[in-house]
Amino acid sequence: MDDIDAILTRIVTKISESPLRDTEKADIYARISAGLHHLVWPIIVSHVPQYILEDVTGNPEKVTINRYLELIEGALQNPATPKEIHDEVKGALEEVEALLNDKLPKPPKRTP
Amino acid sequence: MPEGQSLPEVEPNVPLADAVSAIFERRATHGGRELILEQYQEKFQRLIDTLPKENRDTLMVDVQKFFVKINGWFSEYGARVSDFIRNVVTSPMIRADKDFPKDVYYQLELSRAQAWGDFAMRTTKTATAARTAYRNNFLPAALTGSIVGGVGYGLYKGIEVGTLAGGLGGAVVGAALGAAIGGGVSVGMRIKDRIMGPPVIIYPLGGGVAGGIAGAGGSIASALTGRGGGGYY
Repeated sequence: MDDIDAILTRIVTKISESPLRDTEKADIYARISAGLHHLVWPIIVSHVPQYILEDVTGNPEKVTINRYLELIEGALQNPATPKEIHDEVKGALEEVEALLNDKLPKPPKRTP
Repeated sequence: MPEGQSLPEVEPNVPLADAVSAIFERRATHGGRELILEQYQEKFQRLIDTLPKENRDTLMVDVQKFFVKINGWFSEYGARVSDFIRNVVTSPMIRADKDFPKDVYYQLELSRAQAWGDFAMRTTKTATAARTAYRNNFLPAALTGSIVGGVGYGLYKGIEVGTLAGGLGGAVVGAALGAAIGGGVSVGMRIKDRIMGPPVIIYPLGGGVAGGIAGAGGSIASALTGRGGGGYY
């Protein structure tokens, strides 16, 4: 299990074992998911050369799937991009875990 | 965490979910990314939302080649983040496939996209209908006592849906469904899959049936990715 998966496992375990209602748990899962996805595009876009970005966003009618692939590949094949995405995803999950440790209601103690 | 930044202060009355969103919002907009978002996000979102429908056999080949490249770029960072990126960057291509079924999964994709768009604008504001729909996507997974079990059932449903839909979309939907309801998947694993997106399968050409089998944990994906087993891959 890689480190991101391990952090995610701890987060899901904490939430699932908490006394929150199912809708509250689902809301937190959704926020984490939406948040993680939202982290990716700004990083990718920031690594696309500006002249290419202006060309494709200024002429969306000319964009094909192949052109889209070139755009994303151009950003991701720079080793700095995957590292930045990984570091941001991992860092954000670590922050979420710390927040949950601090603020999540503790599960009720089980009586024998 | 970037240097100089600390955990956000959580006001006593701020719901925990909003505090979670605030973490991601801050990270998505620091280091000059806020300017990039302001300049390009709307245009870029429109671009990926309107990729032309392409009716050509080579689309699946392109997708598979792209999956392999992504796997290479993220190989040192682990399977989760690799699959996650595959989900994010290939989603527009999947939606551009002419055969992508306009069913509940398509609607979920749209809700998800809409929720992300809203998230970018005002993360901590009141949840929209789209975000509510997105949240509801997690409810079955959050209910710990309602696992639909059995590898056979997951395999069957994956094949059924994959076959029904056919093509690239069918394969991916079949894979997602197979992973979601396939046997041997813990509740925690299924929740993680939903958070990061379903594991993306590198599947052979041939359409939905292969995707369904792979999604239900068949040997195709395991052989190609060198990972997995059970319902996850």
